[in-house]
Amino acid sequence: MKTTPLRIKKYVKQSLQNDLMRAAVRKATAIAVEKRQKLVDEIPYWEILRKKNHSYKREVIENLDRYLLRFESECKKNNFQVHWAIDSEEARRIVLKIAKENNVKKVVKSKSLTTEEIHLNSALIEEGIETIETDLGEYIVQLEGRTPSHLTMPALHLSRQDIGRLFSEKLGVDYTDDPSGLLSIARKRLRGHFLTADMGITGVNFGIAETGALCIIENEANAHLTVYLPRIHVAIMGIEKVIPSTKSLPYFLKVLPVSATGQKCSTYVNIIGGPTQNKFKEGPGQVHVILLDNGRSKILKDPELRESLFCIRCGACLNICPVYQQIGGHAYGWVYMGPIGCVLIPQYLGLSEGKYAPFLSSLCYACYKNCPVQIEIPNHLLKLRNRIVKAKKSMLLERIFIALWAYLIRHPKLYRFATWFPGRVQLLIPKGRSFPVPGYIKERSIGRFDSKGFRKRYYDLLKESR
Amino acid sequence: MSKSREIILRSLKEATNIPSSLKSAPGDIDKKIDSQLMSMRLKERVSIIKLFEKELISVSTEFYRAENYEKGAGIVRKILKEEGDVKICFSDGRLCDVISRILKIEAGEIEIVKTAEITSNRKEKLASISFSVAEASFGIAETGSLCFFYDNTGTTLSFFLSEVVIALVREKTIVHDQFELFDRISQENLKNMVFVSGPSRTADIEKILILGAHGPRRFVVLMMDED
Repeated sequence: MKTTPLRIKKYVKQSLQNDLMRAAVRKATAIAVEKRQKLVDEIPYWEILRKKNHSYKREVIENLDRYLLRFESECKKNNFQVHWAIDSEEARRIVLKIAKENNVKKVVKSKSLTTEEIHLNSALIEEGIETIETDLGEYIVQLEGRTPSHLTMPALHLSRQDIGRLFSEKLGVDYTDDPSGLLSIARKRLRGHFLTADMGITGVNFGIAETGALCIIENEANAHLTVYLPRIHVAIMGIEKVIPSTKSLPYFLKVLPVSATGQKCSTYVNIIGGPTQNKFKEGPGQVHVILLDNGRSKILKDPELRESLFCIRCGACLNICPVYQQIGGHAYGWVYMGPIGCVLIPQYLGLSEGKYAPFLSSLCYACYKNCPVQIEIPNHLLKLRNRIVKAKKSMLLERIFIALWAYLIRHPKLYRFATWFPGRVQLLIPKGRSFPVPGYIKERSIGRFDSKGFRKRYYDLLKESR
Repeated sequence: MSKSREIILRSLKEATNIPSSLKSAPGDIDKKIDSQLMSMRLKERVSIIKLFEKELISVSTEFYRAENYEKGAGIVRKILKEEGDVKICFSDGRLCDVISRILKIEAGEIEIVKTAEITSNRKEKLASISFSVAEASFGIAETGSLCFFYDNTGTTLSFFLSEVVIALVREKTIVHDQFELFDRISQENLKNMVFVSGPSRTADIEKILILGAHGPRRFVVLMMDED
């Protein structure tokens, strides 16, 4: 089912009513945050590393045309076939053309948000090509018929019992909720697919301009098998994924696994420099690199927001975000979620479709503090909110409320009354209940006003503190 | 040249001509980071190897050290026995050659397969062998990682398809960190390699760590003192 950020309010409401999903998300994000922090505390130069990575990203993004040309030229020296895709449709068309020309019947895929972004799976399946996700989390959500709910932990929203039922129903196996048993079922099934697939499709974590090599990072070994077992490898890479040199790679390798999964180093870091090269003909005979724009050059044209192209998709901003922790990933209605998703959604999909996303944030700045490339996410959210309001894309009720507030703030006496009055009226409502406000539900109540009113309470607190 | 390529590059050119509002990094950042890295880099071999062992264990890797080839072969035999396996696949490389020869002479019931000798149906045959021995080019102490090159040793595919892998590594090739390693290896090798830190793993089910997702479920590093 196709989702859209236009229905964010509906998705948020559904998510807030799903207690099991929320518990699963809270548990997983709490573990991720703790593991990350433990490692960050061990690296005394972490803040300098963040600055360094920001400066590498800045260098590339602000000279992206130059770096892409270098990358393309080096890729060709490595015998990669390079394709350029303006949008999702063109990227899908290129993949289908390669598949058709090579009589591809089965595709295995490793986890790639870029392929989610271009809705590649459905295009392949429509053409009759069997398409199998091989990352365990992705395999689970593919069986579920949904999209990932986290950038790096796709099945975060499901409990082991959910997965057990899903496997039993879709794969016809006996029910088990033992994680090792579930993995063993998936491993056996997927190994067969790896050995018989014609084409492997992956994303790319980093494309190295200086050498034309692709860097793919993973923990399961499925990306390695996706690249090296089928006869064709297709790598789909957002144009912003280029880094300048091999020398810059260890700086990114130092921060990405710490931020993504709380590991010092991901289990496998694959650096791929071309099709079959060794004497045993191990690996693909053809490697295609598809450089995807799909709105990225438009984002680059915006000097205020181009920093959002620095994102290395680690998911650290999601894990720490108090809003994401409550609503999970599906509530955002698109492939990119959490704080960085809220910045990217209106930029990729336009202000009309993305008008609600930038408001899914408390602006607490935790996302900025956790970002390994120092993207100023809260500032970008504020800029986007400002643009949405100026373009009159915000809700009418909200605009009336803000206009009323703006009027009151200019008239202190009225403002004083307005902050005192609700507290008095509230006395008529039974204790423990609050004002019924549109958009607020049992799981997200507005809370009771202090009966003294804000100003009185504020000055009382001030006196107490003295 | 494709039309899309020209359009994208033109659009990027226009975009990069628009002045940036992003702050530049402080001028002394490289100096600062280099001095931090150098100050943390261990100098003594004993400390580096100790760190290597500690980090390997932290990523669920078993660590053994052998002072000579005979002892190394003994450790391989012991692990093979623990797994109840009799078939073992060796990649090319000096360490693999010597240890496989010792095992061949010593133990008749062990079936030794050399990856270099598998020429037809290579991937299916390699996938049917569950126990492999491969030779790493470098070890990285700080992260408990091993570095393998995609070269003519036939190492990587057998490594990834096996359930149990023993990686042989020379003591003198252990470096402190990735930065040091990247300074030591050639550009050509830098674009064809894989770092491995522990057995294949997943935490996709309720963040519970399970080993053996698609690659090896057991990973053993055998460090050889003998050169």
